[in-house]
Amino acid sequence: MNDRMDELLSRLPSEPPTSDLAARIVQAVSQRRQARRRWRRVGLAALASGLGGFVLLLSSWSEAIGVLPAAGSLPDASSLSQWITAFLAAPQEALVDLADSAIAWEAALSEGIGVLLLLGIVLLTVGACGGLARLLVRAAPRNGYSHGKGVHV
Amino acid sequence: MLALIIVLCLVVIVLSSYAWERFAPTFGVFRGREPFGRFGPVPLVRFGPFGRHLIGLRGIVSALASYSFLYLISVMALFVFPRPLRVARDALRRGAGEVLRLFGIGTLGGLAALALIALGALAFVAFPLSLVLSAALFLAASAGMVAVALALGRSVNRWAGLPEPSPLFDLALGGLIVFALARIPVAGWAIVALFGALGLGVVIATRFGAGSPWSLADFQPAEEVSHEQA
Repeated sequence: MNDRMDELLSRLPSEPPTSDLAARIVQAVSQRRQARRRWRRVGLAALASGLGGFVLLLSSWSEAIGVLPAAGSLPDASSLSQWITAFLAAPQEALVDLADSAIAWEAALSEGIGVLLLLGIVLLTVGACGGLARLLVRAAPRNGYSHGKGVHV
Repeated sequence: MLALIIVLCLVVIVLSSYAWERFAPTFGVFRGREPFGRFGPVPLVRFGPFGRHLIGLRGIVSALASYSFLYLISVMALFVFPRPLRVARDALRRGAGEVLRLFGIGTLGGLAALALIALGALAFVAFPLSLVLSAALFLAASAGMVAVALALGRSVNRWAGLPEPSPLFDLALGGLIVFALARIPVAGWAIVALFGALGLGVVIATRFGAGSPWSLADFQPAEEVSHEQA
């Protein structure tokens, strides 16, 4: 017998295999196949969601452009220095004013955004996260020793 | 060969400073009227990712200052986070297929983060999380670009047959290549976006340089995990 065969034989356990070994192997293979199918479905759902979100965003593009001024109307340097001066003079009033303007900004943004645009962003987010998970899970090795590797959910 | 690459990078940097004046009118159609709002009507294309395109000697000195800042801040990151950056660099050296996967991860990660930032703006109380996420996205992409520069520099140095590997020299060379490509007018933005996506991908895939997988295994009871591992 050659050295390689000797080495392989030496790796065999001295005691006989447990009676349920074959069943456990079959179960493990079946679980792995199920997991692969599940991730394929996740990938397809993510793709569909991402495409749907993209289409909705494209269809409500003019709406998105309309919302941009509200999103971009954050305080600039001069208004910030004015606010700091006001805060140093009357902190309570300055904080109330800040809360008022934050609520007004949030209200303008929430009311300006349409249902389709919002749904498009949500679908795009879900699709991107699903695709990300699908790509990350591919790091798992396929040699059967997958503990501690890849994404476990 | 190494000297030739360095000279080529320097030529690109110098040419970008002198050629900009000549090519600027060509990009007139891309000029934004007020791209930075209250900061004034500055044409967007006059800016590169690593600084404004200044003309002549001023441009060269400005590029030198910009490169020095980027290199020294990267060196600081290298000394503060040596292991995460090594893990991230090594992840980039596993072949073209793996690089493509990392690029996909980075693109989807960036897209997901941007969409989450947009959604977070509507969640009134949680709005500050959008700002935190924006900062985290920027920092992750920047750290990833340091890893990309390290991997690029290491590959070029190995290809050039440099005997002793030095992370500082790898970073200097890789950073110079990235910097020179980023100085190309207009195209520099696209190149940095590609490198940024790759960098973000490697940071996400290596779980911020930890090298451990994204996992919920810690939620499993201890005996279940030990049974699975047996």
